[in-house]
Amino acid sequence: MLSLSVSRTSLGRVPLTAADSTQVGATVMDWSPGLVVRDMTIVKSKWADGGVVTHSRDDIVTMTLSLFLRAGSLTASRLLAEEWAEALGQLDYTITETLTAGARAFAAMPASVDITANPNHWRAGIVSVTASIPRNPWP
Amino acid sequence: MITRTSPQYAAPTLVAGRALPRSVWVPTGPPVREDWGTLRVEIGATWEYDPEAAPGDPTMVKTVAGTDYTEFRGARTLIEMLSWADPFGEEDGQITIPAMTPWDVVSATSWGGPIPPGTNIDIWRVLPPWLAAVHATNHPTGEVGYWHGVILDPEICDGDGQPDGATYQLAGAMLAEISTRGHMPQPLDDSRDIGQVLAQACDTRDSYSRPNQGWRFDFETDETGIEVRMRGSSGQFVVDFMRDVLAVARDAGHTWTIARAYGEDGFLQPRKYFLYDASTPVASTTIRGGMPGWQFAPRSDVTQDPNAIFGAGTRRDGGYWSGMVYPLLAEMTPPTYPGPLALTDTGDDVTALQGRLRLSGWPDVSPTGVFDADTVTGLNAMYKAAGHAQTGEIETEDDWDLAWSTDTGTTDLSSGYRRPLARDTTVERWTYYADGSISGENPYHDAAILPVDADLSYGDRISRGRATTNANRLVADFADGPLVMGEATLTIDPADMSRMDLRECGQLIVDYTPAGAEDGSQALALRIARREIQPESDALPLSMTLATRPYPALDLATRLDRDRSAAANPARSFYSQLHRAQRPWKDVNGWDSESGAGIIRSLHCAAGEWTVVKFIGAQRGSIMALKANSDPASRYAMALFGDEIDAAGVEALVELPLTEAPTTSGWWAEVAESDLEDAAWIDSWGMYTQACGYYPYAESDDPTPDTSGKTRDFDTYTFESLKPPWLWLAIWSEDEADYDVTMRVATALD
Repeated sequence: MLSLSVSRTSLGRVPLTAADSTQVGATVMDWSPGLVVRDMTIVKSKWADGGVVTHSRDDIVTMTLSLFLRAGSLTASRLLAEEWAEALGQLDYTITETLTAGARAFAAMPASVDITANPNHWRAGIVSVTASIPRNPWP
Repeated sequence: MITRTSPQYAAPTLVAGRALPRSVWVPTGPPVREDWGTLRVEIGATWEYDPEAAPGDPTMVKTVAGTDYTEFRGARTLIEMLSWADPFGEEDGQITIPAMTPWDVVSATSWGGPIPPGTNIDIWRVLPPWLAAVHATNHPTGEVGYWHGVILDPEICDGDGQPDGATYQLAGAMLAEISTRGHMPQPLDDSRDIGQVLAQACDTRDSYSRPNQGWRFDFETDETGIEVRMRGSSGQFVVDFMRDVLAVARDAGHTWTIARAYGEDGFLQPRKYFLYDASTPVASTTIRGGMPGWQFAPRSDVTQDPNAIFGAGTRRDGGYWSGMVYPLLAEMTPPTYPGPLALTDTGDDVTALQGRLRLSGWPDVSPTGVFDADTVTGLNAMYKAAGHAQTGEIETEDDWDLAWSTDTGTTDLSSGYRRPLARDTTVERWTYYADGSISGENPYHDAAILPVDADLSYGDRISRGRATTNANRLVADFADGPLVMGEATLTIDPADMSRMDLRECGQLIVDYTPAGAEDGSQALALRIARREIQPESDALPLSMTLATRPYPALDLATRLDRDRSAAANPARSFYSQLHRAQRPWKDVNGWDSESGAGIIRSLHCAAGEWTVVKFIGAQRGSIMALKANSDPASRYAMALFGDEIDAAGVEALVELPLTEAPTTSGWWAEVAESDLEDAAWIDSWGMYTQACGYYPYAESDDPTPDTSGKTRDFDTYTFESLKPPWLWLAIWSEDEADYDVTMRVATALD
């Protein structure tokens, strides 16, 4: 089981949550914390085999998140989507991922958020949100 | 945190017929890694000199702490570049404060906002915990000095696509201040130790009587044992003067420079600099050539390794020298060998030797009759020029004859040529007599060595003797081995330290010894003349300028440049400026101090008749000053001619110059102009009621003064010799007397 919590400290509000079970509120349809790419400085010689690592540094990662929002009516779902977009647009916030086996926190940055327009979902009262969220490599 | 990474490699095995195969050179162990620490930026601190500092303690004290700018508005300050150089330590740098905006920097009446130009900046090394614990007593804050200087103007951009933040250029604490302060030459032109001269140029310790504006660094001087007479320089700032002085701050085995001071714990004493003998590097470390992270392209340029140094300059008294010798100028039989002569000996033979040394190109020797230190210097210079052991004394009759260069043939000024002040014996084909004539083949000559000349301008107020000393050192330096230099980059660390701690003025030994050879037998010992780090680059490169010789010899290129500029504006002496009425010939540089021109010694004149002497002048030029003395003091008249004339010839023009009243302004005004022209008359001194021999008075004074025997004339007379280089001087003496006449003859070379 997966659940996500998005802090909203800078907005002065309680965190938003989502889970991967179909529910009223936010349902996680897709979630990937991303691969941390490690930049390395390797110095080499004209004569010796291989190289020597003198420096390594973890780069910024982009997480992806896709949600289905069900709030009882299309209007309410649209309002919930705006709330998620606002939360994911904060300068500094934390996304906490809780799996059955444990939890991880990610230092997230302002995300690119799309509130998608899908008439089939609308008819079911669902608004879908997809986000591309940069984060620092440290939890 | 910056981490040191020191790889471990043994000497590689070379395989015949192939470049080094990769398989024979592998690490002997994992790299040694160690935390070095981080950098902290402090801006706006106030520093003062502390005269009470205990010996060995830092003398610059931070009296008001600055603001920590390691971060500003949550964004880290980027230390983009820092550099250091020999001399003067910290050179330049650049930082960017990403969150600094135009709203911070711009105001109606000032520029710079919280960091106005000229603010002190101190970049500290924050020690890693393990090292901080070791030095907790001496450095309780856990930080030590690293780079200290001054902030210059902020550069800031506004507009889409422009870089964020403000960028500041930095200049080192000492370099910034001495580059902006005007040099104040000493009012007195005297000879002083280089240490004293440098200390007075940037007087940080109030050892100097004139008020100063306070400095943000301390300079501790030392006694070098080298005296100079320099007052001005090629530029107007203190830094120009100090560079000029440092360029000559070298003697046997010593090369002085100005370096940053370190404490006994090996950490920098911020803003303290000292005069330092660079003949011993401040620190030395070895790296193995070929190792990963080491890039180096050394080169040597034979044209930068002169083995003969020519030079020219002007003495303090205005005498111009360029190393001219005149082998065939004066054929003389040496006086009878008086037996050995050495320091402290006295007598006429010593006077004769001194006079001869003067004539043969060592005008700094005075004929005092006492065998003094100047005589030793002059004699040794003559010995050296002749390829003779420099014993500083006359030991045998051969030594005595050498000084007189016997068997040199005829007499002629056109035999003059320019000799180097110093030349490596291996490229010297001949050995010489004192006057420049050849005495034989030089047994040490090696035709395989390429002769490379350099011609230096030693400028104003330097004697030929001192310039020769300098030239000899340069030649000796260059003979030590070729100047190998190059740019190097380290992106890894030497075996025993972080590259962040390499020091300018330090030594880096690049060991290219292969396995099986004696340790260090193939290694280049290089001086770090300049270094630069770029802390924001992931690879943290350290770029260095390396050379096998320290700064002053490297300065040769600078001096060659200066020589070119001096050609457009010849150095002129204070003395000659004062006393020279006109400069009739465009190429006159100063009076000729080398050929013996204008010097007449002990001319015996009978009473009441003309005596004529032929002496060296020039083809054409000017007599810029004249001095005559009679012994005993007498009244006399003199006339100067540009063509051969005898006593009867002069008498035919003017028979009794002092004893009869002429009808107009003097006897010479009575002579027909055409007769004067025929005789190539130049000028004359002394007439009825205005005889020579009354200086500093005149015979026409009332009452008539006693005769002094002296004549002085500081006017300028141009001349052209009809039998170059000779001129003729006629003296009519009332009493029997000996005359010494000295004329300052400037040779026109147009």
